[in-house]
Amino acid sequence: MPNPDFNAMVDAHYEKLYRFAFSLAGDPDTAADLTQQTFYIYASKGDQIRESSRAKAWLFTTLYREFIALRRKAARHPQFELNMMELELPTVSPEAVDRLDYETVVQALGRIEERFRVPLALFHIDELSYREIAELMDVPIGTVMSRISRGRERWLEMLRESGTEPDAANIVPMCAATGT
Amino acid sequence: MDEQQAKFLLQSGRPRPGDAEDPAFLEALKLADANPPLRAWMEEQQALTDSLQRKLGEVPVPADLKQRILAGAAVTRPAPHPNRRRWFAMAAAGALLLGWGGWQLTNRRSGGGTDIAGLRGDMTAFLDGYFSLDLHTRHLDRVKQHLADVHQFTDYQIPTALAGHDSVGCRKLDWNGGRVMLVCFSVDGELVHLFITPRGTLNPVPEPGTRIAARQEGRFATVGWSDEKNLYLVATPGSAEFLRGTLGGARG
Repeated sequence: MPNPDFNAMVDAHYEKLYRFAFSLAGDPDTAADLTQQTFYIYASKGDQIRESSRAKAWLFTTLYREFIALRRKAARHPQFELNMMELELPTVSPEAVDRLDYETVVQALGRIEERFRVPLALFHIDELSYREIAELMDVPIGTVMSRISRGRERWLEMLRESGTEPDAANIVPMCAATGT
Repeated sequence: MDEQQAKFLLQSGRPRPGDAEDPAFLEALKLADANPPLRAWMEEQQALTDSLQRKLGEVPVPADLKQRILAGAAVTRPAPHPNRRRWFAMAAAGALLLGWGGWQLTNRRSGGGTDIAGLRGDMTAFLDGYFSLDLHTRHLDRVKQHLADVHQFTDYQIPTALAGHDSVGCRKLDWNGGRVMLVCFSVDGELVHLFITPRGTLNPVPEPGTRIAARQEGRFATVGWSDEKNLYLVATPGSAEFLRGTLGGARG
């Protein structure tokens, strides 16, 4: 049987890992498979990852790599290409987001190009810092910040367009971010 | 640092542990403290981050996912013991102890035989040790796809009594110069392992329609049969009654 440490690790992380997988794959079955696969790999290598603070980052990194490996085998889904020059986009108020259902929010996230979607999901699902995401994705921290900034603008724009058109009072101008 | 640069750093709200100690973030926060409109903007972004976070936190997680992870981990053990690793190396090389007499096989729990008893002994010894799977999935279709794509293994029949349950995953084993496919299932929370190997892997080659009587092999209840192409062996740490109840009369 799995040891208590493994059980504790599953308890602590499986829900957020599943949600991260869901944001990547877009369907619950694949998300569940990716989550399971990640923990199985951990179970087979867990003794090599003794530092629990590193284990969380390791789990997210492993899940992301498993997703990439899985995707290589599958047909690429059409994705929303971001226009890197798109600035001055309107955004949505927190109250307007609160009124949306989670399916709308996740579907919009799923339409964003992967290199923006991954840091967005990591930032919003597991509350990872920019620095942690940069290490996980092996890109400079400035790139992570830039991708989250652009990705979030696009995400919010899609939320605004989807179903619940917020009142004009809820539309807040978002200043252009300086890119890196 | 100007206001635009500060906004770029504070675009998602207050910096998180790991970022907050960075001098650039500290400077941006200092600027926000001295600039009420910038601070209000940062708080608005933080509220938006909180809202998005709450929405993503509403994504339902399958109720049985944790149970499946823990069940799967039972067949994926960490840190192979050196002796076990050596056993694997032998198994992988098909270098199991050859040349033992048939009478010895029936009295030995594991290793050596190339007939049905040898297969049963070696496979249950394998289950008793440390091993991992090549693929983990609850979807039998994905297991079949993997066996077909990676091993060109397609000519077999999963017992209908097992096909209706979640799989755990699969793995290819090398045995006696041939290959044995292991497909694991989760049946009511109990692991059930199905080994499939072409009949020709065994020596002597069992006739089609051979029935392998149910037998307790160590801590595993086992049973098996053959069809035109393959020999099938089922093993579970559950009881013989559980195995009988799971497979019923349906084999092949």
